[in-house]
Amino acid sequence: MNQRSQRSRHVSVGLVLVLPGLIMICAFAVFPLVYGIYLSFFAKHAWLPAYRFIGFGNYLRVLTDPELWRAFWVDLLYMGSTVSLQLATGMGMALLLNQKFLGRAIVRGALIFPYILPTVGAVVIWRWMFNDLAGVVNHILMELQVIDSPIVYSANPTTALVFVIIVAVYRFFPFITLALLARLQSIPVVLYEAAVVDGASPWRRFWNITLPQLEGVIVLVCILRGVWMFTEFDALYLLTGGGPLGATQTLPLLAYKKAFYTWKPGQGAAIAVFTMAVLLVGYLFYSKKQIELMEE
Amino acid sequence: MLSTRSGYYYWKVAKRVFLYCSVYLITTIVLFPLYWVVVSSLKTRGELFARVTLIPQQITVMNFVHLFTISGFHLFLRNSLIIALTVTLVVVSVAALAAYGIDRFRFRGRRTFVRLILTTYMFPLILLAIPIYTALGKMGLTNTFTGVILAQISYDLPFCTWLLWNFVKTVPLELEEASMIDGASRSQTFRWVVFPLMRPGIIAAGIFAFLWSWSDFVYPMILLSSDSKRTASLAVASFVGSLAIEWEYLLAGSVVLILPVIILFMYVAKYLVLGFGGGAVKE
Repeated sequence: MNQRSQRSRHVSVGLVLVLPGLIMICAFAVFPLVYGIYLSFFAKHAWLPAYRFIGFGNYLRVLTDPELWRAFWVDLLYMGSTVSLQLATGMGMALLLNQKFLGRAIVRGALIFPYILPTVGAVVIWRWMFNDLAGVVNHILMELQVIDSPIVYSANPTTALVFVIIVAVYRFFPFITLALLARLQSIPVVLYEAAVVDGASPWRRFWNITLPQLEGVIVLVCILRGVWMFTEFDALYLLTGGGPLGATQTLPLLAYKKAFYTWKPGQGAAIAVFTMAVLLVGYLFYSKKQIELMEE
Repeated sequence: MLSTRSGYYYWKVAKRVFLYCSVYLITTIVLFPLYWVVVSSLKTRGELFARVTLIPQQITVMNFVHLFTISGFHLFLRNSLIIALTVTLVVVSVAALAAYGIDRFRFRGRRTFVRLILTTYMFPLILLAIPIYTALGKMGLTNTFTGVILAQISYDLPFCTWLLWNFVKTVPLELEEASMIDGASRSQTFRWVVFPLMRPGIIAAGIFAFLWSWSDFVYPMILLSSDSKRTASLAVASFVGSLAIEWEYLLAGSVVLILPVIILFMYVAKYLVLGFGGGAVKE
């Protein structure tokens, strides 16, 4: 067989292999996205089949709705606090796990539990622990005389937010720990040895060696967790359903409410598109900053 | 010249103590909820609300019995299993083939395709749920298992493809070339050479797909309306929101929901460590 026909056979076999996957991914991933954007331009009641093209009407209604901007603010708050706390806790644990100690493998294995815990399970457990009648948290707080009577976390906007943030940190800090740990373990020990010889204190060693080495992973992990926290639906919906009077209602929750509760999928889709636009803008800002930094 | 117990020595001991204390404290905090839910599910309703005890005064399995006899939880478990297994099988096989194709063949639009997969991974479920629900509604697939399966595949497939692509990259090209020089066809090569070497990745992707489908309640919630078709996670989720929560059954249901996940994970953990680290994770 000459070169040319061998290569074209080569290519067509490849296409056959990849085609089902390609088609499915396009159908399942790309299509919903495009269709979602398409839907946002229509007014439609979820049950009735009639469509009415209203162009940017949904966007106008949605962007002038104070509820949207409130959800946006709550979402930013939620994302900011959860990611920073996850990072702090995760990094602390990673640094600890980087040391050798007895039972290290077991601890590392146990650490993944919060991350693999199904959302529904996590919600039940945490709502049970924060229960006002029989919950462990209230019990301990009262035993320690921090509070006089049980707190109903879901009744108060502030406690509701604190509650969902605690749950989010619990569930996702292992992700950060494991990512950082993998990177930590690949930092050459000689760097630290040289620093010790030069008389660097532990803090300086951390600040000038460890952190710069970790920078790439930290940034990546923060971006991932930022996106996922900004767009989280499952846990928030089950924990507070939007909190007392929208105190924990983030953009995804609002989109769901519009689409499935008030039966206006057009508006829901518009909110979803708005959320993605926000993420895109965030990403563009980040890229711009990267380019600026590189040009310095 | 060195004193037998210098201040430096005590400092080192203190650091060790601090290390052990913090690590085990955090581990306890991490694992306590698991202990708590299991223990709570074994308490009677009376004890649950009368006092908060670390160790139950009375152990009962009646909560679990009630779950299976009266609530019919086994039906929901069966539904979850059917859906999760189907999703896993489809996703892993399609993703494995697609990953292999992406890595080994240059075709037009390959670069954009890869970038596409990565970005869809960052898409949150709920943003895609609205169009998927509408589309499936038009196809008449609401309230069917097929609809839920398709919806879940849509979320799983990009990630698993990307995951398996990373594993395919680790299989050396020379092995395939050697096998083909020896006369094997490409599909034979894939089946007998590449696929076995991808096994850690296949297992990782399979576990991920299964666990995610098992835990998902959003798509079942949006798409299923018949009570009998509910999945286990949906069943537990719907009781969470009810006004008069019967905690003892809710806790028992959660335990039944969570336990397979933990067992599966423990069993398969060694494959994951091997796979993701590729040997780079030190012990």
